Amino acid sequence: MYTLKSMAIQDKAYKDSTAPDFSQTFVDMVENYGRSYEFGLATRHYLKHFPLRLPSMAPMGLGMLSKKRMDITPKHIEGIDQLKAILSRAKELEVV
Amino acid sequence: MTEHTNPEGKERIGVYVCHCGTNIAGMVDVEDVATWAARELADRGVVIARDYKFMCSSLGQELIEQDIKEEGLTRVVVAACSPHLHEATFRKACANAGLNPYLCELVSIREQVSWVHTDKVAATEKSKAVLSGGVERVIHHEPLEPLHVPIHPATLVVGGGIAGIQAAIEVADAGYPVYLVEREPSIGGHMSQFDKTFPTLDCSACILTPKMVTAGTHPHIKLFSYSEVTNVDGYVGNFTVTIRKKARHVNEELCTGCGICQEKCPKKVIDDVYEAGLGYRKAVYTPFPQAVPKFPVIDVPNCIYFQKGTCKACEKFCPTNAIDFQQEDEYVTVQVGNIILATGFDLFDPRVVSQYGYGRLANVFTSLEFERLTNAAGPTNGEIVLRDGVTKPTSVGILHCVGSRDRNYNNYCSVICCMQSLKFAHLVHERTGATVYNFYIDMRTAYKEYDEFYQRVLEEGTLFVRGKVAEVTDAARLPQEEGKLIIQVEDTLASVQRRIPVDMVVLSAAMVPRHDAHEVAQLFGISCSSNGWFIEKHPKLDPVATMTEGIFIAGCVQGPKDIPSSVAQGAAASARVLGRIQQGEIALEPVRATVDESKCSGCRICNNLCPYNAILFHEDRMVTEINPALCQGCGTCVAACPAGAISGTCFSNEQIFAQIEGLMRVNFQHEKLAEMA
Amino acid sequence: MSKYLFYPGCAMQTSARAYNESMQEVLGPLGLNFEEVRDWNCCGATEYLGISTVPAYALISRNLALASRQSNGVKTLVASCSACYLNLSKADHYMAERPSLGQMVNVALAEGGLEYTPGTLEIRHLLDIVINEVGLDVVKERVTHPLKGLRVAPYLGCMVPRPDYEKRWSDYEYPDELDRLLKALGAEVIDFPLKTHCCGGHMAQISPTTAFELIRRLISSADNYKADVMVTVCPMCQMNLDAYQNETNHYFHTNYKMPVLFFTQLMGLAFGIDAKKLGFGRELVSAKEAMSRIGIEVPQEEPKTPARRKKTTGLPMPKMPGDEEETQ
Repeated sequence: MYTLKSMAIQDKAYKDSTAPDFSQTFVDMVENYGRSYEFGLATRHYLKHFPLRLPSMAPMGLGMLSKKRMDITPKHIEGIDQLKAILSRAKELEVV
Repeated sequence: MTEHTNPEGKERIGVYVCHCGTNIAGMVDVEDVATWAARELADRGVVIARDYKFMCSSLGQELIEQDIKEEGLTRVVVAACSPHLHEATFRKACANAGLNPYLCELVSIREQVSWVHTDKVAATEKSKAVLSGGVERVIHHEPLEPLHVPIHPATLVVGGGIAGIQAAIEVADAGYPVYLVEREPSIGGHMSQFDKTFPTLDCSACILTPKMVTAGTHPHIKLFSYSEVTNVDGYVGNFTVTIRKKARHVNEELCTGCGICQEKCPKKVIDDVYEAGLGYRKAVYTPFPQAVPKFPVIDVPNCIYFQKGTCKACEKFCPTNAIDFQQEDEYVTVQVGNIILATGFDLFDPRVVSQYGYGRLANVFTSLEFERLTNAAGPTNGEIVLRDGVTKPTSVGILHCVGSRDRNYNNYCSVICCMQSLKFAHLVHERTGATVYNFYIDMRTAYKEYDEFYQRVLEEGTLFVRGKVAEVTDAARLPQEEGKLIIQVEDTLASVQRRIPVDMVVLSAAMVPRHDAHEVAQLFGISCSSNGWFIEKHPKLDPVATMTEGIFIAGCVQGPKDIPSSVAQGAAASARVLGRIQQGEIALEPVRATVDESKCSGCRICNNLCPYNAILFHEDRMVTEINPALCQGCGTCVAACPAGAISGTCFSNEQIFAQIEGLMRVNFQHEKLAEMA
Repeated sequence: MSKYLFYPGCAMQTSARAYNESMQEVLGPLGLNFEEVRDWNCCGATEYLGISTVPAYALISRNLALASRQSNGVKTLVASCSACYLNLSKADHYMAERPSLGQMVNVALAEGGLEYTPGTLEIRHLLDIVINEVGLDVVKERVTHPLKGLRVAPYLGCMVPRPDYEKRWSDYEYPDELDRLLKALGAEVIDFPLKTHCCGGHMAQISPTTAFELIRRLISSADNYKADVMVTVCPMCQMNLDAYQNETNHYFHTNYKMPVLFFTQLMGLAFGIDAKKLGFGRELVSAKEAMSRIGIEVPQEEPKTPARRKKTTGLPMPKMPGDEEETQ
């Protein structure tokens, strides 16, 4: 499944999907913090692609926040430098 | 080397290398092999070496015969195809020229050389080595005489389905006695469960019951129903078979088959065999009205009397006092010369294909359940209805290849499912007017008038979707799917995903080998493929014989097939048996293993290895003996004997070691070249 | 106390807080001792493997390397999130199957002073541990408050039973582990036809309308079966079905109110643990009404279900393994 997805992304075999961009945003967050950061991800992605949907999303987001199911600030891992080193070496090894 | 030498002038060996058209000559330089043999093996006694286009042709055989006479050959080596194919041919040629046929050796340079290699130089070198091995071996061959054993005129037929019935009737009609053994209370097999048969749609019972009656009443057929074979001893021509007659608890001498006991029995049981779980029977029952024999049986685990000690309703009402609660299993021993196995198939259990919902979703049926639904004598009197017993479906989906042509379950094609599904489609149309969908991978309608039937069903308006169904579900997405079974399928001709709501789903499940096929194969000493189908001697040219002399197979026990093919095999097996019986005796290959009793330590390691049950053990003397008539010369015991006490004629240690030395004698030029490079 | 290494995954601390809270509560009664992998990082969810290979596997494998370093004889690494479970298993599986990939990942790991030999760890999902290591007999012993009268839809999602590299699950299309567990808790378990269908995953962000349709199918099917609650084993499934349910209703003009809970929450309730400690109340679609059925002895009312099992006049159903169990 992911093979098809990554082939499609490489070949840009998509027209209006926001999926590749979402993946990239997600990956950027993970590479920066070591953990996923839903609040940042959601706001950034929705602002970019579905700004008009934000109002209808608001109750859900507020609900998640009020029930402590979403953090406003990202979490960091201690070994972020280690992770970055691993990933940058891995990117060099990636055969495109 | 001394013990393997060929004292000068003792043996005169002729070598024949076959081209087999280009089968061998295309990959092996046959002329080089022959001239090499004449030159290099002259000191081993080779006096003549020839190559020839087709050694198996009359001219090829005459060549050997002529050389034997003119050159005074005492041994012959033919380098050609596998001994399975032409060993007999060349042995016969030798015999024609007055040479004992067992002084001929066939070495395979086709199956084991030309067909499996791609390097011509190497293949030629290997042929020389194989040939050299054969030459060394043949020096140690001894003249042998075949064993002649008489053939007992009686025949055992195991399995009373259509194939077994046909075989039994044909042998009996020729005037020879037949014992027909059936596990269930009645003969008839799967065919008795069907309503119509494709492609002619004649009534299954109408064409089957006359044969059942013939088998049941034939003066030469002794029917053992509700019985199983428990032991087989002996060998071709002379088998001793023990049959267990399971206690019916009904005295066959007294019972008139009136059926009152069934009527009065208060215990209703789901009939998993004859009704495929879709209908009920009583605890005392005959599976169906036309059962042969007519005598019912008491199903002990379900009988109220046997379980709780009171009831005996059947006994009270029986007008002839035929109910016998004390009856016990009876063992009968019979002598037969030949055995025909026609034990049939089981239906694939589609519960394991969980995405089709069989067992969870009420209105998903198996093909056998559907056969019972359509049968006028079935649980719904032939009404095609949903599992609630009343509602007629307005749409029906029939799924092909459930459990077959599917690498998760069985790779093979189950042969009958396409035609059976077409038959179902026709019956649904005819009886309910419902919309019918067939979901198929490929439509396979080979054989006489089968494709015409397909055309007919197409014209009737059945809808065909090419694609393997992904899922059958009751989870509706759209309002029109509510309360239906939804078939999710990729239509591979239109390249679209379809969701088709239907009321009823029929799974055309695969035929699979009987659950106990491996045990049965072992009991009769025949081979069975890993998935459980019995293996014929040759898939094309000897389809009803097995590698075990005197044991034949017919019908679905050998692989999935339809009724015409099953009947044809039943008849073919009986023809083979009749030929044997009329010969009066049979010549057996003298290739046998023998035990040197002075060397046998009585360890019994070999005892359970023999695939032909040919080994017996003498407790009193603590030694093993091999029954020469049963032994097929496979050599398993020879290899296994730790004391080296067992040797085989035609494959003695001396012969094998000589053959190995012969193989090693050849200097592999090819290897040398490779090393130099 | 059986000791296991534990990989929580990002969601356990945020959107699936209720899962974490309830899991921590039931570990003790189940005799499980979980040691969290120190300084673990995100597994990449369903995104990283879509855009890269070696970096994605390196990201996952950092966790495997940390876990194996910490293992101290413990071989089993448990994940509670289905996506984490699948990613960790996938890395372990493909690093072994494709040695060149394994090598490259280890070259990258070496930059961080780490290494991982595939096969060192045994990666298992929490549900698998409960069913196959703890066992239903132990679970039944712990049940003090059977969930009698509660109709539950067992929902596994796609990533737990598939592709099942180690053949641990009963069936990849229709596994029954969750059904059996919930039955052991005393709940009435519906035969949920969509138990392994997709919840939409990240489609809720990428293509909301696609996700809404997938969510609608699941919820409406559970609702058709008159389920009181849906039970999940995965933070992402719970998030989609719970948090997006309202929007889905809005989109389709429906009005479903299907509470979506974690199986550990129901285990906790059945074990007699206070609902507050089990993360109840964190769900956006309130489970309050459904919960009120437990503890209150409602008269045995036969719920109306679609005609599935035979009526007395009908034809018998084929026997299924486990049928006898039900009739007892």
